[in-house]
Amino acid sequence: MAWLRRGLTISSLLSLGLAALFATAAGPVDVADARFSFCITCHGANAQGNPGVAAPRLGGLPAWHIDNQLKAFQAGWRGTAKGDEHGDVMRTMALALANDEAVRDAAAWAAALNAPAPAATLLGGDPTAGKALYAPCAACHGAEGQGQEALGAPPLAGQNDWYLETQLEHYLAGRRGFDPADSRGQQMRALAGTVSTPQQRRDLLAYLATLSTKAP
Amino acid sequence: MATVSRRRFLELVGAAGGSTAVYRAASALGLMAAPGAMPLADLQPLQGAKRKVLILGAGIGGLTAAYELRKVGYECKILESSHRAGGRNLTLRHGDIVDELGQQQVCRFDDNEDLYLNAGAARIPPDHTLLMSYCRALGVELQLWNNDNRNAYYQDDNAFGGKPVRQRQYIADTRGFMSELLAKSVSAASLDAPISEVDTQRLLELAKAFGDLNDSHLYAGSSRGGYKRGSFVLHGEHHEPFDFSELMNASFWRWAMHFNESSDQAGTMLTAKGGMDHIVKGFMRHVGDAVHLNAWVKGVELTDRGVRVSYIENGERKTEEADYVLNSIPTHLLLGLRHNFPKDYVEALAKPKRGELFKMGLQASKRFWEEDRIYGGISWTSQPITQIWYPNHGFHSEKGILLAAYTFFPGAGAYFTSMTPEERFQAVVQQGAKIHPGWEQYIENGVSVAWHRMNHMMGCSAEWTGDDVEKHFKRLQRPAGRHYLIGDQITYHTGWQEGAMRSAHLAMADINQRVQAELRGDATHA
Ligand SMILES: Cc1cc2nc3c(=O)[nH]c(=O)nc-3n(C[C@H](O)[C@H](O)[C@H](O)COP(=O)(O)OP(=O)(O)OC[C@H]3O[C@@H](n4cnc5c(N)ncnc54)[C@H](O)[C@@H]3O)c2cc1C
Ligand code: HEC
Ligand code: HEC
Repeated sequence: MAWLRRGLTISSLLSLGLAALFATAAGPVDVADARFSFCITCHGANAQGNPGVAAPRLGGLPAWHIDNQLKAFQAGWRGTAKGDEHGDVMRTMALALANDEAVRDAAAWAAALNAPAPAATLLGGDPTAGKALYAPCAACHGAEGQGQEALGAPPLAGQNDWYLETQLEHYLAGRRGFDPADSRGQQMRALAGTVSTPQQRRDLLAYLATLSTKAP
Repeated sequence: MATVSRRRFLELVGAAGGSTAVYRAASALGLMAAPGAMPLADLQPLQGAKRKVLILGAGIGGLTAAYELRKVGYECKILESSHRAGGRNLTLRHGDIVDELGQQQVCRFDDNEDLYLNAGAARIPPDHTLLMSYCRALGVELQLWNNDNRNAYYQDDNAFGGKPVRQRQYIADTRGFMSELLAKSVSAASLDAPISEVDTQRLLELAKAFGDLNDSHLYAGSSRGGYKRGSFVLHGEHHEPFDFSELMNASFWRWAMHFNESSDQAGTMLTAKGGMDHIVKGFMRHVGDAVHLNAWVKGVELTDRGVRVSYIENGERKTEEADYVLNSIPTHLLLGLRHNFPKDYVEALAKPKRGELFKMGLQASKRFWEEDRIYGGISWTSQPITQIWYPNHGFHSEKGILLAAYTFFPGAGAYFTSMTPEERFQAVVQQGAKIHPGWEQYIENGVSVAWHRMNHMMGCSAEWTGDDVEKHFKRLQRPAGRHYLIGDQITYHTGWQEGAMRSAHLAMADINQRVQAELRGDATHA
């Protein structure tokens, strides 16, 4: 039904008078860019993430990662598994982006927003234990959790801890990385097994939080 | 000494002071509930002093505040992010846009003032006295609302072979069987001491009357359940009772059968004639010039002297300071704004869960349900659509709008929310056909509203549970600096317009006190 979603969105956005939908993005990125400002209804005023609706930080993430994930939602690699209600919400939004160009522009727009790195919210984690658990992850996600474009591994430092926790649970439960065509997701799903207990995940996230304070 | 009975006392008061006096005295004696005894804001005019109030959100809460504050001289501006005022008071008619994120719809009902859907607020219990008083003040015409129609159906896949049964029949039989059991236990004299012989006799009579038992105190069916043939000029023959275990297999008795007895519900209620948004229109006639649409609040900053609000209005960034802010933005969205709220306030904002209500309206080319003796009221089913509401107006006209699904159970909400509008339409029509076989031929189009995905809303009816009520809810009823949260979200009865109005009054009463104190202070300093 993707065609239906797209068709309705474009025509009615125009009729709402909300958007010059095909305006070219010139000059500095603007939060108010009418093509994408609907993203921050959920992702927070600066795309800094909003736990109230379970939407993660986007501002400050690299555009390539946002682009990858928008396409993963569109392909049904994310947001289609049973029990992944928040992913399903986001999938509908990704499908509203009409083509690759719109996806690219949305990613560039979101990445350029100036969102402060989030504070830690999860309790009960031991960062020292977490540091050891993080060692194998660093190969791809970087020693500082800064991510590596060549591997498609996103930054983990600077992301909301509650969001990373859900994503690890998704990988472990097979709600993400389940599609054989999703090679990045499948790779990551296998690795999530190294933090299979809730306590390990809390420890790991407590360590990532120490990196987040240094993140851009 | 002769004692005066309570009743006699009230008669005396009535003679002296009229019915209002009786009402007040009765309330004082604890004889009558005084619904919503919370003090209303008794606002004192500013008399030339200047105070500016920014109101965030043009829902019922925000509009109530602007209406009252302007009357006593406050400068008010309402910032509303969506393209319309009203918030969750939303009536859909021909051509209206349903601003669901990612999949907007246009309402395709015929262009006819009788064809509308109240997609949010729809009914008003007379106990919602503040809302009633605004309807009076704003000239909003009311009409009766049938919330309980025994001719409507109950349908359950697990009972009666999945076939719909008339509620009158189900209820008559259930009461009959219960009464028979009661009568048996009374006759068995198993009730001891405190019940006297007279009482026992009366209890038997109650059982008989309640369940329509025969003279042997047995239930053998009842005319209450309707007739299978005859009744006027031919001898009426009522239905045989259902099998007791079938009645129990159905889940109607668990909840829906008593729905009208729940808090804020009633068999007979009221609604705004022509659509609930007439309340919004009434307010807008008074304060419309203060409402800024497409003005999307992005940040709320508490300052020493007031509150600074940053927002984007039609693409342009703006900031504005005010002495006070009344904020009705849903807590889950408020969390995502830039703010400098105190820690305990933020903690409380994160507590309420988002409700996930879903409504779908269908336009029917013919009012087939009226030929089936259903005028207004609600059919219930165990399927996800949960309910079908029949219109309470336009009887015997050509077309009608059915509310063909209204779900509030967590699972059912998510089930419809995750579908496309077309998928919802298919599912709703298919499920409804179990109650009205063949209705497909009359269904012309539909419009669905999944509140969990509505732009600027992303959920509805904050759900407060357990300890959070004591610990956090009350924190949000108090201001943070000069910032006041309002909306039904901080009342004990979330999901009612009355709550949105009362929360605004709670905030205004406090602001009034502060301002009056400030003005007295100003005077002494002068
Ligand atoms: C399906 C359903 C059925 C209901 N049934 C009934 C009923 O039968 N009877 C009854 O009395 N009540 C009913 N209600 C409840 C009633 O609709 C609400 O209690 C009432 O409308 C809430 O008013 P409010 O002002 O508190 O909030 P809202 O109406 O939610 O207003 C909040 C406003 O804030 C705006 N906003 C959000 N974010 C921003 C931002 N960043 N900047 C600026 N503005 C923003 C929104 O667009 C919205 O207009 C029902 C609600 C629903 C959803
Ligand atoms: C209706 C709310 C909503 C809107 C609007 C929305 N999102 Fe999302 N988004 C979410 C939620 C919820 C998640 C988390 C999904 C999950 O838990 O798997 C998410 C996740 C994402 C992710 C994945 C991030 C990661 O690192 O895994 C990206 C990228 C994203 N959104 C981009 C966008 C963009 C770009 C827009 C606008 C075009 C947008 N979103 C609009 C709710 C929304
Ligand atoms: C072999 C490389 C590799 C290693 C090692 C690895 N990851 Fe990943 N990780 C990825 C890739 C690639 C993705 C993006 C996957 C996708 O698109 O679903 C990812 C995604 C994630 C995400 C989702 C983030 C988001 O914003 O959506 C989390 C959380 C994560 N990894 C945590 C870890 C942890 C914890 C470890 C160590 C236990 C780890 N990763 C080890 C490659 C790796």
